[in-house]
Amino acid sequence: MKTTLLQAKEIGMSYSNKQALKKINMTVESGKIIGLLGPNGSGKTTLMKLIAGLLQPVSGEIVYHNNVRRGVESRSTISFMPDELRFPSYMSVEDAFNYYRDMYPDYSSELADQMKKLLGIDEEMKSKMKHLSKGQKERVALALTFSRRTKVYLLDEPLGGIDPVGKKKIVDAILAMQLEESSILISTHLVKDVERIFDCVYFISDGAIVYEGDCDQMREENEKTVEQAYLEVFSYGD
Amino acid sequence: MKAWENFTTEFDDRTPIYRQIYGLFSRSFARGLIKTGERIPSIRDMALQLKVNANTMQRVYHEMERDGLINSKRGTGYFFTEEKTMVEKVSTKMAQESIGRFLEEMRSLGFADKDIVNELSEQIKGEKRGGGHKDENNTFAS
Repeated sequence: MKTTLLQAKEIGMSYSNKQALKKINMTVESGKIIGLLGPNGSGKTTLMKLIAGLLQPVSGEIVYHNNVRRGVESRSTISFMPDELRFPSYMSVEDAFNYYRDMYPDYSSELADQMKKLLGIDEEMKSKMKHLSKGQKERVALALTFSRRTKVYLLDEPLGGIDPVGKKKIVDAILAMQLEESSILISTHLVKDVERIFDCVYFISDGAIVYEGDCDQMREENEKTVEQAYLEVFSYGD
Repeated sequence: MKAWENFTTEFDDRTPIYRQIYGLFSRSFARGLIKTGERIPSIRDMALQLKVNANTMQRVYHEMERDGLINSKRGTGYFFTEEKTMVEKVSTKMAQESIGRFLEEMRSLGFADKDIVNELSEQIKGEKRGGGHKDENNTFAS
C-alpha cells in the first residue's frame, strides 16, 4: 500500500532579500527513492532543511504523514543526513553512534551494525572523527542516518567527494534500506552515479522545480538517460 | 551457478531498466539456462543482486507474471512456468523482435523487401560455404 509520507505545498523561502525557493510542490510517497537534482546553489539544501523541519518556510506548508506537526514531532519521523557532518573532533566514530543511540528512540543497533558492515566502517569505530577522510566521514554520516528506523530519509549530497568504491558502497546501502513503508529523498548534482536507483526525479533550478518525472518513463519516451535530460535542462542558456 | 548469478549489473541508462532485466530473464529461459518450474529469488534479493531499485524489480516480475513467464505461489515465492511450450513461445517472440529490428535497419538503408531477402540468403549461403567472410563483410556494420 502506498501512503503519502509528506507533501510540500507551495513552499516559499527567502534569506534576507534573496528568494531561495519559489512555490515548491512535492509529494513523497512510501517505498520510493526520489532524486532531487540540481546544480550547486539551486536550493536543494534549503528544501531539504525545510522538509527536515530545521527551517520554517515563509509561505506555504509541509504536511507530514498522520498530521504530525512541524518541529520536534516531524524531526522524530525524519532522518536527515546533512551535507556536512558536524561532530566535535574529539569524538570517535563509536561515540557518534552512541550519541545517535541516546538521542533517537528509533535507533536500531541491528540496522546500525548492518550499515557499518555495508559501508565498510566497522574497522573505523575507534578512529576519531577528525582523522577520517572526506569519503569516510560521508559513509559514517550515511550509516548514522540509516541507523534510525523511520519513515523518511533525507540525504543531502551523499556522494560528494567520494571515490568510486565508496560510491558503490553508498548505492548498496541505499538499496538495502529501501523498504515498502519508508522513502529516501536524495539531493545530488552527480546524476550519472545514481540515476539507476531513482524511481522518480525532481529537477530544481534557481529555487523552482522545473521538471518532475518517472525515470523509466523518461527513458521510454525520450530514449534518453536521466543525466542527458538533466544536462539539457541545466545547460540551457549557458 | 544459477543463470541470474551471471546477470550483468551494467545497464544502458537510455532504455528502461526493467525492460533490460526482463530481457536477461527471458533470454536465459529461451536458451534453457533457466529450467521450466525453476524457482527464482525474491524481488528484494534480486534487486539487491542486480543493484537496482526494488520497484524496478517488482515491475520486472509483474510483467513476467503477466506474460505467463513466471507464477507466484503464495508464501513460497516465484517460479518459472511449468509449460514447456513457453520456451518456444519466448524464443519465437525474441526472434521476431530481432528480425523486426533488422528489417527496420535494412529499410532505413533503402533496401526493398525483396533485396533484403536476397541479401540475407546470399549471406547465409556464403557462411555455409565456409569461413571467414563474416568479418570482411562487417566493415560497414558499425
